[in-house]
Amino acid sequence: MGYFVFEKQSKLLDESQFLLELKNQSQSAYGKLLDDYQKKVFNTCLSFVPNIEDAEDIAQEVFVEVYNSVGKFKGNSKLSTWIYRIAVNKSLEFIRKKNTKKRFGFMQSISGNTLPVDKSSYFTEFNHPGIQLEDKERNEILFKAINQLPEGQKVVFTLHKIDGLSYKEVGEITDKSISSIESLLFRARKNLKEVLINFYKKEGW
Amino acid sequence: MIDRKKTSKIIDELLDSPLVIEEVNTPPFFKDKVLNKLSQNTEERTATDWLNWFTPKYQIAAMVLFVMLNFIALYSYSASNNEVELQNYAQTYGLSNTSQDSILN
Repeated sequence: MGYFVFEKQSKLLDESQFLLELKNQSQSAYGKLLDDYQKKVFNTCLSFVPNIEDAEDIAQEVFVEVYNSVGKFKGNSKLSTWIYRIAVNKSLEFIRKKNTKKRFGFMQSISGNTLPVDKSSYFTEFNHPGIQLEDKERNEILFKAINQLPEGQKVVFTLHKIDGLSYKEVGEITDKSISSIESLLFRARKNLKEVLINFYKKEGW
Repeated sequence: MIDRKKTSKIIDELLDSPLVIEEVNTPPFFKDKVLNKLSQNTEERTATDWLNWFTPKYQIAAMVLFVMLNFIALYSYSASNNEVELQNYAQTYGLSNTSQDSILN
């Protein structure tokens, strides 16, 4: 028991020391941060935006934001949780921008200025290297359905179902209780079912 | 009916089954690209650093000062102009002292 307390305390000390180095903009500390978190951040971005190029751009922006805002980080949460939050916010920002552009493009297509755009997709092209080819089609449909969910449900569903985080981790990132995570997941599943039924109906199933 | 059942089954499978998504490695040179972006960012920052003190508070103060100076300049210009115009008028109609003190009188 004592060993675990000591280990926890030394971990906290390590993290606060590491944070101090980051705040002092130490290049070596930042290099370590990149080594430790690049894979996690990239995979989270990929869970929200299933396109390798888009996700790479977003992940890069996440690390630039971390670098610029680490001075403002007060340490109220774990560093990893804070970085996850930035990754989620940057991904949502990207999706919002894409959706706005899509709407604008759609309006232009109505007024006859440009060619019609693809109204169903918020990513450039479905290109998720972690998804097997045989699952690609059904997962693409799922990702498009997730995009139609309200933002709160979208975040919780993506972090839990796609990114594979536990309820506790999702709760920490979104700053919500486990019961509200469960409720959001329940509603997300219900809404997704409706969206998918409509989709398959349109497809003539 | 069968189709509906089939569709419902497909949807349930899609939502309930754990998604088989493998963890993906970051693209090559990801770290280098980020570090490169950061160095560009800091260069841009240092370029604009000399104007950092010029916060909105100072910007408003500078604007108010500029507007006040303009008003003062305009006011003093119109006041001196009025004086000149009045002198001209008086001279034209022989009302000024200078015209009364003329040798011709």
